Amino acid sequence: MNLMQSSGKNMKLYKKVAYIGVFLSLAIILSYIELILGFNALMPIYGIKLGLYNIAVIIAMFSLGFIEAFLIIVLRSIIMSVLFGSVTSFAFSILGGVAAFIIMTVLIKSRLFGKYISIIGVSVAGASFFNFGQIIASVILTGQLSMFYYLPVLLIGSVFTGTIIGITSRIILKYLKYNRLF
Amino acid sequence: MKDKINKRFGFLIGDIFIAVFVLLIAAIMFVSFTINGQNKGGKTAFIYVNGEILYEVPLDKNYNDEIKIGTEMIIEISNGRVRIQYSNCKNQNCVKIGSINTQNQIIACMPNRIYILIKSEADNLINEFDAIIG
Repeated sequence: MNLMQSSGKNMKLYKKVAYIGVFLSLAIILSYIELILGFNALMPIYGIKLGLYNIAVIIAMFSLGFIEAFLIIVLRSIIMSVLFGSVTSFAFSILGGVAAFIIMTVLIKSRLFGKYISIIGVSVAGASFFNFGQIIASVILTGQLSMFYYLPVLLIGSVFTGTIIGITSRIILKYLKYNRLF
Repeated sequence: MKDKINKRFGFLIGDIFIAVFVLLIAAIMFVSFTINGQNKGGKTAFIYVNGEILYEVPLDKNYNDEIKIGTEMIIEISNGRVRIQYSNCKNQNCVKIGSINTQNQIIACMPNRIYILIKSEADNLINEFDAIIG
C-alpha cells in the first residue's frame, strides 16, 4: 500500500498545494454531511460520531503524505468550528485530531503495518485516540478529572466507527491504486 | 510493492489485537469507576455554572428538589439521583444521558457551561485545596 513512493514525495509543490485544497474541501464536505444528516442523534449512545472526514484524511496520508494530512486535519478543524461550531468544539476536534494523527502516523510508519496491522486497525486506533483527545480537552476546559467517566463508552463506539471508516478507506484506496489514479 | 492485504475485508491479526485492546481498556476503566463509586457515603452533587460552584445539593434518599438555572436548564434531584430535566442547548446530549447517582459521575452541558458532579464528603476537602492552589 505504498502509494506515497509514486506520488507524495515526488510531487511538485504547486500540485501538492492544489491536492491539499481538494482533500481539505472533501474533508469539510464530509464533515458537513455528517452534521446535517444528524447521525449523532441516531447513535444510541451519547456523543458518538462517525468521523466521515477521516476517510479523506487517510487517503491523503497515503497519496500525499503525513504532513499534508496533518494540515488537512488542522485546517478542517478551524474551518468547521468557525462556520458551524464554537471555541469548545474547536478545542475538542483539534486535540482529538492531533492525537489521532500521531497514533495513526506511528502505526503506519511502524514495521507492523502491512503485515500485522491493516488500515482498519490504524483507523480504530485513530478513533480511540481521537476520543481520548476530546476527553483531555474537556478535562482542561472544565478542570474536572471526572470527565474521564465518559471515556469507556466512547472507546467502545470508537471500535465500531473506526472499523467502518477503515473498511471504507481501504476499499477506496484499493480502487485508486488499481486505477492508477495516484 | 506487493499488496499484502488479501482477505475479504482486509482484516489482519493486529487489527483484532488493537480492537480487543481498546475494548479491554474501556472495560477496565468502567469497572474501576464503578467500584470506586460505591463505598463512600454522604454524596453531594455540585452544580458548576461557568466554572464556579453555584449549588451544593446533598443526595440523600427522600430528598427531592428542582433547581432552575435562569431560563437555560432545569435540574431534577430525586431519590439520590440527579438528572437534567430540561436544557436549551442544541444537541441535548446532557438530557439524553439520563441520571447519575455515584461519586465521580458527571453530567456536562458544554454549550451552557454547566456541569453536575457528584463527590463524597472526603473529596470535598481535596477540591477546596485545588481551588486555593490552582
